[in-house]
Amino acid sequence: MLLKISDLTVAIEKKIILHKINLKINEGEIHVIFGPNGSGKSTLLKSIMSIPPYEIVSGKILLDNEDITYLKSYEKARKGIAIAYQTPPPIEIKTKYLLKKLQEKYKNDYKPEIIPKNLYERNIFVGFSGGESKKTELGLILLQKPRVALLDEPDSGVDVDGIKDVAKVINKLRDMGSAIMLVTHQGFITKYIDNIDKAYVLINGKIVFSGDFLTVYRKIITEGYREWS
Amino acid sequence: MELGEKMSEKEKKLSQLGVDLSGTKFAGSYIQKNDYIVQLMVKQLLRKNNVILMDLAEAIEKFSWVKSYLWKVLSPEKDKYIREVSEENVHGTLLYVPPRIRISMPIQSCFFISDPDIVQKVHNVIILDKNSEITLNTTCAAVAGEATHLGITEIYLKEGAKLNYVMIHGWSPETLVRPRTGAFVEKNGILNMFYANLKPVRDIQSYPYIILEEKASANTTSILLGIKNSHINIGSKIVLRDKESKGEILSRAIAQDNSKITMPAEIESYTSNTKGHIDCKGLQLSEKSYIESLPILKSYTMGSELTHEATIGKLSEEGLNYLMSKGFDEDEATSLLVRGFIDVGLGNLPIIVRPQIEVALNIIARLAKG
Repeated sequence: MLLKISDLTVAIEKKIILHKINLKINEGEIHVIFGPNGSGKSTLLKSIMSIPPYEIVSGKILLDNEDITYLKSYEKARKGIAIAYQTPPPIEIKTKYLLKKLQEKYKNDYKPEIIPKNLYERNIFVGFSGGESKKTELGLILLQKPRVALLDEPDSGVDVDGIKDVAKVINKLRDMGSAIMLVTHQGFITKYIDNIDKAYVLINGKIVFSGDFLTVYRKIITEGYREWS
Repeated sequence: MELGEKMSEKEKKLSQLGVDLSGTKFAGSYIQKNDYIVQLMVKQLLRKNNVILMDLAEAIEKFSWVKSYLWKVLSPEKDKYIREVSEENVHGTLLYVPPRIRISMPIQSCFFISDPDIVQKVHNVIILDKNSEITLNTTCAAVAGEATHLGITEIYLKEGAKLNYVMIHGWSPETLVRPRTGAFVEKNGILNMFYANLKPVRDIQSYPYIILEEKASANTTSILLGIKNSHINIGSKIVLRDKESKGEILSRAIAQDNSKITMPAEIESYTSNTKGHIDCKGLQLSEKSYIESLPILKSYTMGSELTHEATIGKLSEEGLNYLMSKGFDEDEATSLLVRGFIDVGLGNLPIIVRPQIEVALNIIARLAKG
């Protein structure tokens, strides 16, 4: 198993917000995490990545059987876990400069086509549209060539054509052998993703349902989340 | 024997600041160590265009007209440091560019202190005649213990002349530095000044004073890194004396450890249809650091457009967390954010000098620690 999460419990300011989460994913698999607003989907991805202010209270995160639970985010990134933020923060660094630094860091000269060239001279995520932010963030993920990609709502705020571009990147990542955990709100993007292996429903910080993707997706589309709330 | 071969290992560190000891990258080179000249190189490019680059003390003896430029834009009564230098016949550069001569290859000047207890006094006079253009790279440094540098620079830009003036400073923690710069820019003249401080300094205070005639413009950019116990007080004053003159003062200060940085900036307008803008930003990286921003705008008539923006803040925690999630450790993420903070755009400087400035900015980003 590439990534295994066991009984992960997470708190923020001592308040438990994720309860005993269990997930496991292998290379080349795509798992989708569904859930209504505020269910803890973003918190889960950020906790796996050790992004403050979330605090892991108990449980384990294993990457190739190595315990990485309490490693810092940069250490996890260097071990091959990458995260795409739902809303990346505006930063006063030229997009092209950050790209260059990531190329140096990950020792490749790959230039992600998904990042619009007109954004290169601009400070990254400063005044970007929703679609520009998502595309840029996914481009950076591609550059990292991750073993595990944690994608937080890469489809939100993106137009239909943009969603197709985002889906292409997800398919590409999977073809590269990355394991992908995809958080999505409505799941429209899944229409353009080939072979989704599994889906989970997260409600109030707990995984309340998991199983075959199509079964879960059809249930959500027809019935919403009420049954689990 | 090459100059580089005559210098100590310590002195060779000057090259890290961008000094080219061989002089090959420059059209001319003047290097002064303590109070004597160690290199004066004037290449054919300058000679054939009758550009004069020589020791000011010698120039005063040789050309009677030089005296008419001395102490005109900086008066010895202005402060004790100018007076102190004016009372002696000191070395420094005279740079004269004849009318319509435009040289794209930069000229280098370097003033460094290699021994303790030295009081290095320098007087530079830069004269660009009508419609001429040149780029001057000046590096000032100290590789010794306690010392003082008093550097006077008088700049005269005649009608339509353009000077790109890049200054990189790398002093030692024991150096007291008092540069004094004055500039008079005639009609349609352009003065672009870029300044960066890369190393700890005991105390530096500089406040270039620039007077602009009709349609003349000046732009000063200062990138100030405060490390250890450095006291830095650097800014500039631009006087928009005549109509349609424009001035911009841009400063970025990064204060860490116990450093104290003051950024004074003043634009004064005496006529209508002038524009002035001050943009000062400070970034504090330690609890004990101090930053003060002092923007002043004065308008003595109606019709001038003067603006300023000033901010002081700390590194964005959200930005740090984001960059760390991409694989950068805390120091690397801090450097990236600092590099972004000082990325002020070098569009008004010639392409040929930008790599050296990029190197200086990268050094600042690398040294900045939260």
